Amino acid sequence: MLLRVVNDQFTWLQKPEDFSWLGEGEIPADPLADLRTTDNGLSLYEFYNEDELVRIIAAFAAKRINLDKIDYVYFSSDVLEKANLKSIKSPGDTPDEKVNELHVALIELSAQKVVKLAAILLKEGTTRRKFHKEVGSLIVQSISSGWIGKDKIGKNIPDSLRKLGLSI
Amino acid sequence: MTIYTGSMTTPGISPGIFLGSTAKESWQRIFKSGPISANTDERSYSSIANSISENSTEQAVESNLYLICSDIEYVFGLASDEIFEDGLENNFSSNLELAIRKWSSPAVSIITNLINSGKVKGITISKALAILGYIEHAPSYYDRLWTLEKLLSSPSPRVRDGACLGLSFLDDPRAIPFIEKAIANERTVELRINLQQLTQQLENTRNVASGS
Repeated sequence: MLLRVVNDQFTWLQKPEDFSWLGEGEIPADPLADLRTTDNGLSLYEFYNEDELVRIIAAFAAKRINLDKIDYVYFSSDVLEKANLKSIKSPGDTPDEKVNELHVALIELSAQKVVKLAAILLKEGTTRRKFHKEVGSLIVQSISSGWIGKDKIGKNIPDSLRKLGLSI
Repeated sequence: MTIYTGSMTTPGISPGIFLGSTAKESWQRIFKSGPISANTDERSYSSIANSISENSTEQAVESNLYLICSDIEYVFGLASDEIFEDGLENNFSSNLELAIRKWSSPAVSIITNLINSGKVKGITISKALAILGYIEHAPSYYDRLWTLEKLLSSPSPRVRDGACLGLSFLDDPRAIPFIEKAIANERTVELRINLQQLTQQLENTRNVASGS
């Protein structure tokens, strides 16, 4: 499965049929905000089980400035082929080295391909949320397991963890 | 904390967008220097808030109700310029927090009214309701808890989602009965899953608090 962290789960819950003004085959534009490309590429993480999924979430959350909830969309790797998308394995940018190895970059993306990907994800993707408290516990677990260095986490996160009664 | 210092005359974000021109006139009274003009463009929200007495009594707050409306609507008006990203600070949240600290419970009521009016759109609703749960401000605590519990039964799924998010930050097990009722009524699968996760979180919080 492939995972994309998004900012607004609700955007992904709305289906094209919820918008009477959309034409046939069209999708709403808001989800595209969560598929913002850099250098015509898009960052995803590949996971094979729940342990890897939560480890990715912890790593991603740990690099943020503040402790916050995490919304994400995950989908079958087959989608890439279906949408004719080119991907490569490349190192991710999280404080967890193992998670970085799970990083997959979509490359050579055209605007049309991004829209196509959004359409497929709206139809076939699964969206989930982890609230900040659970995210905090996952970060602590990654730190105590030695996967993430204490010095690598976002500047306001230690304070937030203390407020939640979580020690690192 | 980052504070918005941009133009107040930018189309679409000027005071009065929700309440009309009368609110705009009230807003102008906040500025001792007179009507909104190019001279006031660079004033930050915090300086506006601080221009009103820091020690507002309840009576003073009541008499300033219209000003509070203007204040809150102005903060929401600025949100249209924001790009929200989880885990990062944003001006809207900082400014809304300031407004709640400044005006306490009346601010919470006005925020709720604005959200229920349907004039606040999209992710701004989620961010506002998250702030109601996130902010540490004892005087408005019960109003915020009550508001979030009540909004769980909003007809708008976006508002219900935001209320659930706000309650996750508030982390108060007293909300559990309201969440259980919301679970029974929720038709959107993902929102129901979120509510179930929230119930579990609050039950854990209650167990930790009771030492069991």
